[in-house]
Amino acid sequence: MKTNARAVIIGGGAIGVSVAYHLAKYGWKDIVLLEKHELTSGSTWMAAGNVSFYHPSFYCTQINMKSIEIYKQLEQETGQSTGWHTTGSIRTADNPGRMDELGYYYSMNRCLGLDVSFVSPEEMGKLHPLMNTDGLLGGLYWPDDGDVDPASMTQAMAKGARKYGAELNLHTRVTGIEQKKSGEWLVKTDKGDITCEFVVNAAGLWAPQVSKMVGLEIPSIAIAHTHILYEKINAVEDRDIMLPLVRDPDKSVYLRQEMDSLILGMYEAKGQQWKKNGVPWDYAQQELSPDIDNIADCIEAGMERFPILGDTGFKHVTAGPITYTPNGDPLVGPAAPLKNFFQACGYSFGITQAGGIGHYLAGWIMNGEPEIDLWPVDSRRFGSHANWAYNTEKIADVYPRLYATFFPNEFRDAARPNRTSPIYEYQKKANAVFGDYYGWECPNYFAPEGEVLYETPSWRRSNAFEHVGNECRHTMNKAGIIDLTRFAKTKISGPGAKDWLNHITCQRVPEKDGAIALSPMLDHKGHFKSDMTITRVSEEEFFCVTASVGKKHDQHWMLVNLPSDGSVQMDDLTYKIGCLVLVGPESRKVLEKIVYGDVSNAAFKFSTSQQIYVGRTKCRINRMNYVGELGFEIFHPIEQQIAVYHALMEAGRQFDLKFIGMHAMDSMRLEKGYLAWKSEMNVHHTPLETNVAWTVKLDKEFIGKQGILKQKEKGIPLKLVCLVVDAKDSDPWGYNPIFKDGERIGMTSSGGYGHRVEKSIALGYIKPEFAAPGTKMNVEILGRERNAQVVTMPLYDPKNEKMKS
Amino acid sequence: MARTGILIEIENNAVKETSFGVMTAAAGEEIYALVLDDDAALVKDKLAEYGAAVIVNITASGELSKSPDLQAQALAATVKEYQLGTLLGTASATGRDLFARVAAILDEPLVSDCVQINITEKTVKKSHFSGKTFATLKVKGSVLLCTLRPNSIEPVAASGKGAGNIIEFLANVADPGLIQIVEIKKDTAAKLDLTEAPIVITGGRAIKAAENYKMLEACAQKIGAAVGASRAAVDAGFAPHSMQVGQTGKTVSPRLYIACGVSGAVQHFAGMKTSKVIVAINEDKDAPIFSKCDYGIVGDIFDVVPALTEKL
Amino acid sequence: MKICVCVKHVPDTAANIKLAGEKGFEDSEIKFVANPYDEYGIEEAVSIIEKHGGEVVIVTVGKSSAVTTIRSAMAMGAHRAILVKTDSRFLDSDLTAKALKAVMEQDGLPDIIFTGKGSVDTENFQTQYRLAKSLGMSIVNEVSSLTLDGDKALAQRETIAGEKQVIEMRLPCVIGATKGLNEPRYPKFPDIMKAKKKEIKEIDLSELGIDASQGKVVIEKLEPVPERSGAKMLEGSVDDQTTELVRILKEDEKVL
Repeated sequence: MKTNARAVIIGGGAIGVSVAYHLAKYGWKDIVLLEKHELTSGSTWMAAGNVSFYHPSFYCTQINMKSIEIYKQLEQETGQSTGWHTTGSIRTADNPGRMDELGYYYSMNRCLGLDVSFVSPEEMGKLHPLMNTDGLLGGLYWPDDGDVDPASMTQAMAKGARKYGAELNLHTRVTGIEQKKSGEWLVKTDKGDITCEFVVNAAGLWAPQVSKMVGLEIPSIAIAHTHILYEKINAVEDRDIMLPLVRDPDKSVYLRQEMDSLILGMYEAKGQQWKKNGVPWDYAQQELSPDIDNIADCIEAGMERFPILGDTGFKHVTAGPITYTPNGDPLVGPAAPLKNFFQACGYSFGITQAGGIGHYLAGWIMNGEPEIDLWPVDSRRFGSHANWAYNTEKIADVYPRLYATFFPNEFRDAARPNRTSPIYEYQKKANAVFGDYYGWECPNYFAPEGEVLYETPSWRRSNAFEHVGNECRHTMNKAGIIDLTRFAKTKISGPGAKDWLNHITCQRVPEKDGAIALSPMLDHKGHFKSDMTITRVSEEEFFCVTASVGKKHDQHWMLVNLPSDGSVQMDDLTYKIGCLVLVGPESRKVLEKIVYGDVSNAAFKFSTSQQIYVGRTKCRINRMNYVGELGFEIFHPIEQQIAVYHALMEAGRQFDLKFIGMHAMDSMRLEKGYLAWKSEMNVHHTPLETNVAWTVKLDKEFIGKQGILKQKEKGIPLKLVCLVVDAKDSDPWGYNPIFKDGERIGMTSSGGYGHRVEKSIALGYIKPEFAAPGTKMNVEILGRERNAQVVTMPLYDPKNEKMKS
Repeated sequence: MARTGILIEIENNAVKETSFGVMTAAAGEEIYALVLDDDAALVKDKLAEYGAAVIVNITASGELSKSPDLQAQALAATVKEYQLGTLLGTASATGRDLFARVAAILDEPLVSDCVQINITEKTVKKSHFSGKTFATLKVKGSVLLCTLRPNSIEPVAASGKGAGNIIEFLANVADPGLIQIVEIKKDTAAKLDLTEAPIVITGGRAIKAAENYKMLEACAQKIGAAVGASRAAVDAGFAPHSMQVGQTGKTVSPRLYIACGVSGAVQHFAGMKTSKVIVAINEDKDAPIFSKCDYGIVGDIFDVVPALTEKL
Repeated sequence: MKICVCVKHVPDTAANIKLAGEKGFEDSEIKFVANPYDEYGIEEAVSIIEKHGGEVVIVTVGKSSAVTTIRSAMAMGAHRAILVKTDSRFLDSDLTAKALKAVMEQDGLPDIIFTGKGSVDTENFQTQYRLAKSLGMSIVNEVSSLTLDGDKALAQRETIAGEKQVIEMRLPCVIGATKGLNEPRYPKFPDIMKAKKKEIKEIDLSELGIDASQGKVVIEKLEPVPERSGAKMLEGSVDDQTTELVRILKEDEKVL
């Protein structure tokens, strides 16, 4: 066994082997994989083997597409069969909400050029003669996906990995991981130690224990998943072409052909968590005892949809543990706060993604950035609130809902509340309907007295629509308070602070105390990494604010880029400082009543920051906001939030000061063309393509400058525009394809209804030749094309007069 | 010292190799070699070589060959007559059946398919859980009945040749008349039984076609081996199920197991892991079998097997 | 007609056996199933009763967790069951046979008793013989073919490769079933659900006057089969390799 390696991959399941295979294939030498038993002996060998394009996320769909592309050619490349079958797949719907969801997938898939079509119940019955289509409204059909044999596929990739020079060590268990002073990793095993540059944790069921070796707690717990192989069915055996895989998400079952019979899989109401305190190290290649009683409902549901199952015996019932995370998606990418330690675990549909994630993760490791935006699977999307107890509660809710309809406005109640602002109870009293943002309870909107405190999940305008509109109009005409305590806040200080910040953002760091600058952080290719605003407190102190959900991700980036000479200090202020944003034309009047100081426009200009007493609390007020009104971001010590709140509400009473929620904020920011992190600002775009190109200052050096210069030279491939859409009761949301004259020219990045301008709005990137205001095009929403037109940004208060008043 | 009776299996007037192994297990004991319904004189010398003090030539009135019960009665009577403290045999299909009947008649404990025995201590060792564990068992009874797994004990001629005196014993027993063998169906191509063969050579999926087993047969003929198949080969239709070695096929414990083109999956291994020496020949140097065998050759079985056959 | 099938609750042969202490193993986590050979008995019994009418009674001696195996046997068509409960994971064949005899006499002796040829955990191949002897019934083991004709039965069993004995016996009889007798049916979901309502009579071993500690064969130790430490890979040309292999097998290992 090697004692030095470039990368050590821990875990020989489908995921680990794929990562090793791809790293070796793409040219890295000294790749070592460590497997404590034999390849596939964790969850892989018992997996059902379904490999479909389908996934709610635009990016995860691409990972799946990549897997299928890889599996289809793997046998030819390695000489080892994979058991791949192209069968196609169907996803059914038996209610209108589900049909809307399918509409979203249809449109989103069209952005990827996938062959997918709506199918009627009759058509489904023809594609799958064993299906009873009673009660179905329709479905989606993809002809090009299928299934694979998990163990063979993994062995084929293992063969490939060895062929390209990777060393695969079996019966070698990792016993500890340490970081050397040099930054290299020392991976200890029961057969010797290896020093390496990169570590990839693909240990599946044991990934939490491996993570613990480096001091991390990851949200992954195993649940027993069951699938049933039926005995030979003549109707299946007699077929010439294989049956498509069917998912009936409303019945929470899937069914696919396996040789001369069928496999039925299910996600039952009570998922049995297994060994949630840690999977024994010696567990390997063992089926669990199936609990037929627990899955009886699902079996019956399967029989309703596929009557032949009732007359067919169970040949083999497989129950095996699979890992689940708080939202059912895996944990991939750099593990914060470490350097060169990557996660590739928490997989519950690992066979579907193994091929693709091996490719993309290898690229991520080798190039420093992923080829596509992998935020949906990034392990840093879970904050520190996602500890073990949170996980076990949340995952209990996630498992039976793996097939639940995906609605963009749904926030599940399970395992909540976690983090709350001090004014939480006041928000409750005001009938807040809360959402969960990175563990923070944040009001989405406020319901009127007597109305149920629940937003109906929907792809169409919900019961919240009217109330959100009222909040927007209230903000436009009077004054409102938005709670943004959840903002990620970081203090950067020290003699090297200014230079370092200039290095890490494309913007010029403010030269004057009290100046604020929108300062995106870019990656080495010039693409958006983080949405950051820098406030200069003093020559050596800067207050940096980034998106709340990006806290771990953004602070990780900062941490790994900090200079080692100690000239820059980074302090996390997120939980020490609260933030209440006061907005609206009356906002200054409210503020004037309670501050010690001059907050007139002359004394307190837009986009500046001052330390001001609000009541008895010393605050830092930044005169800017995300809704495009006259407004003030009031940062205060978190333990004094209620004092600040009382002062504001007292003063605000005469101006009818009200709470404003997230839905209203999002509506208003769209009207202003303000970008959102991971919607407009992601791994695929640079500032030059957007309306924040002005933040790029080319007369200095910064991370990403080379990429920016390259793009400047070549010309931008896409341009961000604002579209007004002729929508009916469903607004664009993002991932809507944009068509012109039959050709797809772009995709929306976000969207919604702008209540102040009374229009349905989308932001999106399209080919620059179509970006002129007035250009007509179509935006497809839930499968239907809608007329749209490019408009000048921003739609609301184009001259920014209100903000600057 | 108690007397140890050993039921000798005879075929074509010669003692079966496996019986010598059983005799070796009783080395040092006063061995009563039991010949049932055959001619002890023909095998006297060989039995003496392996330590038989006495050879009991057992007969009974009645058709012994047609009634396992009558055979068992005769054996049981022999045990009583000569006060045998131990009765050993081979765990062949007939041995297992006969000993179970004898144990039931005598109402004494029997342990079947053992790989080791300590007659003095009255302990035996055998596989439990399909070859995954060894169990050491203590037997409490007046007579210890035990059948040994074929080929589990290497036959070693006794250091001091036994006297081998033949005693005739006509058992005074009657057939309970419950069962009767009415016919024996013979398969013309009598192959050496997989589970009893001292050497097994198995062909896996790499054999590619049913007729290629001829290559293994040629090798097997030279060394007195039986030919087996892996599940993958059976699934692919290259061999009948009766040839399958593995968890869902037959369990074998030969002194030499040669796996040709077998990947060595867990299920196959379970069927042969107690073999004394395992040799693997496979094209893929990373095949799992190479971590489970004693000697390995990375190569094409179509090159290696004929070369091996030639050298044997 | 009444047929009893003796079914044993055993660890799945694919399960890893984790030893605990000197003579035990951890049985709470692993998958348990009906002894595969017993399933041929269950299938044969159910088929016969489907033709002739009557009932199939499952008789099991084991821990209370054996109920799951009994239910799977009933899902194949058995009508009811008797479970003789004991905490012992290893009851020798002498005591097991006594327990089976006692409950069958209590319940009413059947026309045929099926067992498997042996159990895959202890592999002793003898309980059925003791049972038959104690009941005065005929017994044939490792039966791969069975024909019934009134009160006669013709059973076939393989002795050595290529040789089959055809044995005539009278009912009542004990048959030890093995592969080839039939293809055990796979239970359908409706049958699995129906099985949950069928009767299982539970009797404690002690109620039959049998003392589990009075066994004549006792486990002293359980140990794992040692894994092979590492193969010697033979190098060189095919000629070199095969020459060396033959030498090793003849001179070093002495197996040729």
